[in-house]
Amino acid sequence: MPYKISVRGLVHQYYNRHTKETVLALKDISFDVNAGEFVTIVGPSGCGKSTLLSLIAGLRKPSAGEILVDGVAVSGPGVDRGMVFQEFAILPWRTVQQNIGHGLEIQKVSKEKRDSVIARYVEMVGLQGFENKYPYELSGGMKQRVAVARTLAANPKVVLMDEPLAALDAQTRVTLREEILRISLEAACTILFVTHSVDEAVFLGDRVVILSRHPGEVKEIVTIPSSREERRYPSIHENQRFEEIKHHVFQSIRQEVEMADETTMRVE
Amino acid sequence: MITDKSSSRIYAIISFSLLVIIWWSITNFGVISTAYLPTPLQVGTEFVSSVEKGTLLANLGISLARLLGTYIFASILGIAAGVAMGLSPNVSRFFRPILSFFNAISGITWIPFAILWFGLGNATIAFVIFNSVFFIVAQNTMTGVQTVPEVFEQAMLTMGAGHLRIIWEAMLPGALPSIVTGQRLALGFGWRGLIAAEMVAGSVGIGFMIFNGSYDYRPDVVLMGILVVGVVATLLDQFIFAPLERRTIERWGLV
Amino acid sequence: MPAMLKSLIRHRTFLSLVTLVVLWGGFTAFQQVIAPSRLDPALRQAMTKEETIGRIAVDLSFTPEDFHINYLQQYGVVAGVSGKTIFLVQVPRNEVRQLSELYWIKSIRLADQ
Ligand SMILES: Nc1ncnc2c1ncn2[C@@H]1O[C@H](COP(=O)(O)OP(=O)(O)OP(=O)(O)O)[C@@H](O)[C@H]1O
Ligand SMILES: [Mg+2]
Repeated sequence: MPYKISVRGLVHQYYNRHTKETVLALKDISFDVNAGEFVTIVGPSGCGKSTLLSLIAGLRKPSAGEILVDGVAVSGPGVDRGMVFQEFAILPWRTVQQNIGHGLEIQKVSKEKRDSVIARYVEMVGLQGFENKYPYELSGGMKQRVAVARTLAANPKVVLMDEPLAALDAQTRVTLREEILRISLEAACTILFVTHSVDEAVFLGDRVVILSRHPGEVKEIVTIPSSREERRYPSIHENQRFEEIKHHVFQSIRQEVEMADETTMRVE
Repeated sequence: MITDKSSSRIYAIISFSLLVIIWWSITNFGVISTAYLPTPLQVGTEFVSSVEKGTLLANLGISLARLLGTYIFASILGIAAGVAMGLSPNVSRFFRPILSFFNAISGITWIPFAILWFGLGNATIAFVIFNSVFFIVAQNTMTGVQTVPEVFEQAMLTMGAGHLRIIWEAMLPGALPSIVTGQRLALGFGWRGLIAAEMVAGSVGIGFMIFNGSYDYRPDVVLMGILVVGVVATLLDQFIFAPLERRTIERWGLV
Repeated sequence: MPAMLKSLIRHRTFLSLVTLVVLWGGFTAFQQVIAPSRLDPALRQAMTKEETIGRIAVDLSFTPEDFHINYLQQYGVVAGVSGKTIFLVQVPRNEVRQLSELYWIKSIRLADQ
């Protein structure tokens, strides 16, 4: 069976038109993701995590290498790959329910069908009573939940999430992690999930991809032994194996961050 | 909010009342001869009689019709041009210098040129209004489209939206505050261009009425006309565009 | 954007504009109703028989200015002005009817040739 997603020798360079400089964001990234797998991605800030997701989404063209989804090279964005953006990117002139139903509207799903899907996701992300509010009336965390619901409501086969829980309070974050875990099992979609939280990465992922400091490379891929069905808060914290893996991932990232700090210090 | 609004209204009433009182004292006690500056009463009387005679409303109606027709036409073209420039960096790099240049030339500067081309009459007036409106609308629309965050477009792309849909559902609403600001500025510029052009090239219209008043040695007609021009412009701005602008910006929290 | 349109329609500014249009419509409708009373009986008689009226006198309640003379020129040939009256010749009866709807005209008479 072919991989759901194959990333092969991916390189990405940004070109800044004003300073005429190129920035190497990703240098030679390769990894594979199986269908139905939940892969989390961690790495120091600026190492190219958002860049990687936007390349897989087809929003940018890689400088070198290729991305295959179901064995077919990605040539542009498509409804098979949904994305939750780090900046939320929900439209300020659409209400909560108009935003959540946007993808379905674009796919020309009938109004009745749409409304029932919207109602389901509104409930799932706990935004009942806010259906007709505009984004500026919502808190940062609520906006983020709208963004998550909007992407999931469109029912993509691959979900790319860029720190979707970053702006939430601790309690909501834990709830939504469990919720996302449940959805991932239910919807049978493949998920690539970028996060800054090691706890989150280990709790959610079947595997954790650790990227090196800028420019990004795959430093290490850690497989989480337990199956996703078994994980619950807070009992997971009592699991010795879970805590050990967390510690390992944490150390691995910290090493990168420290080395990054040293290099910047030397440059300055 | 409410107290803010009503207190600024009170200030407006006080400052205008003061102005009228000063005007009244100067003219009534002969500081300036009424041959040069008519009294408030004379201007008021002229206002009533010109309404009765039909001259004011007919002239005003003609002026507004001229303004509105050209304004709408120029706005549609301006918005279309602005969107095209906003969407394509190449198109905007090519046209932006031209746009800034034409924006620097105020609409009334075109009057002599327009007369050379079109003679005296409606075509010249329309040309001047068009020039006062088109460039400012295009400029503001372009800026508005360019400031729409790229992630909105990207998000719609990942949901499978086509380009027309992205323009309609992301670019235009995102640019709307800037477009409304442009429309508001353009209406003000268009109105000024219209009055000036009517003075030189018109045979009817409120601008012509004012200009003709000075030929007839009727300072009351001239001043009444000027006040009507000011009041109409203020009403258009304060009662149509200011609330519209506030509304689009407030409603979506785009500050 | 239907929600936006709906809120726009309910807005104070929009409502006052509508009021203005309604007032203006009412005023012109009223002028149309009272228009026949501005025509003297002899003229009304003539209008039932002839397509074009040879010579009419338009009475104003004030001394006509250039504006009014120019304005009436659209309807027929101005043959002269005397006091508060403007004389027009060769006016089609439809245009006489339109003239009678102008609020600043006092009355319209059939004038001697
Ligand atoms: N549009 C762009 N133009 C130029 N350089 C860019 C652009 N976007 C990102 N970069 C650069 O590419 C590198 C990777 O950026 P990216 O946003 O992918 O990092 P990230 O891992 O998502 O960081 P964070 O965790 O802070 O979100 C950074 O050095 C950044 O400066
Ligand atoms: Mg990022």
